[in-house]
Amino acid sequence: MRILRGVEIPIAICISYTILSMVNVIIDLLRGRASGSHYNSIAMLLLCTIAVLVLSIHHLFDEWSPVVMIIIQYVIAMGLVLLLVFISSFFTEVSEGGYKDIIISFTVPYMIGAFIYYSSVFRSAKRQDRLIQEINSGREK
Amino acid sequence: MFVLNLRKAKEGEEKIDIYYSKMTPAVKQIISIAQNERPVLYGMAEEEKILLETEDIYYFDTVDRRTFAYTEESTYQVAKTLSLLEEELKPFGFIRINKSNLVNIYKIKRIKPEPNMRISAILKNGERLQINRGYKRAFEDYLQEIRKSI
Repeated sequence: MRILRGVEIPIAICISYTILSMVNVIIDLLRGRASGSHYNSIAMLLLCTIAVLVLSIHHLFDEWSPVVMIIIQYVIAMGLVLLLVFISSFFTEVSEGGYKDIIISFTVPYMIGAFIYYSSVFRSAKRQDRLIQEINSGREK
Repeated sequence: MFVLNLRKAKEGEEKIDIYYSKMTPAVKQIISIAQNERPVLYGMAEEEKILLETEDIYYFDTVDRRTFAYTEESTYQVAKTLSLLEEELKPFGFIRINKSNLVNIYKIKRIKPEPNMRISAILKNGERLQINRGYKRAFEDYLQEIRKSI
């Protein structure tokens, strides 16, 4: 195994934890020992997959304003999440207010992420502006 | 037609003498090469071929596969592609900021975030160009590189 560095270490931990947890869940399901927490684990994996897939298509919106990009990605992701809940309702009972809960659970972290992205854009513009001013004043000297 | 007079010189004694009767584009081109080794760039405006000084160019724009150079007051069509210009002019302050624009960073007055989360480069002639997300990192790295070299 090659030496892992920096951000590769938490990524490797996340991947191995996910594989172990999912193997455990699948074994329990095959043994007929399925419980609510098993279905929750599968649902969380699917939610994370949707989020990662939707966020990974950001380059398709490069020519668009980031606000439009965030809204489009949110609509796609939210649609897929609601579809997931709808499909899961054929296999397990969706609690009363389940749809509302999933909208809130998905929207809140998404909004926090969007805010972090928004402030990173502003910080980046400020940094670039400072560099331009330094270059301009350096040339005037 | 020029008379070429080439002689081998000792190291440190290299020189170029130019004798001309009229400042033609060809003479300008020779001077430009001798002075700063900048790539030679011609622009077409109203059927006239003009030697462009890259220092005077604010940005390049590609429209329908045609490339245009924008100076403070004029626009010239150039025969080179944006990718080729990007490669040739990188050492002279030009960097790609979106799919169709190559900007001269020495002509940027300021960088401003927009309310719609886009980042704009405001040029010294008041024009505004968008810096796309895909080019943001390379743009900032290039600015860092230039600042260090000043």
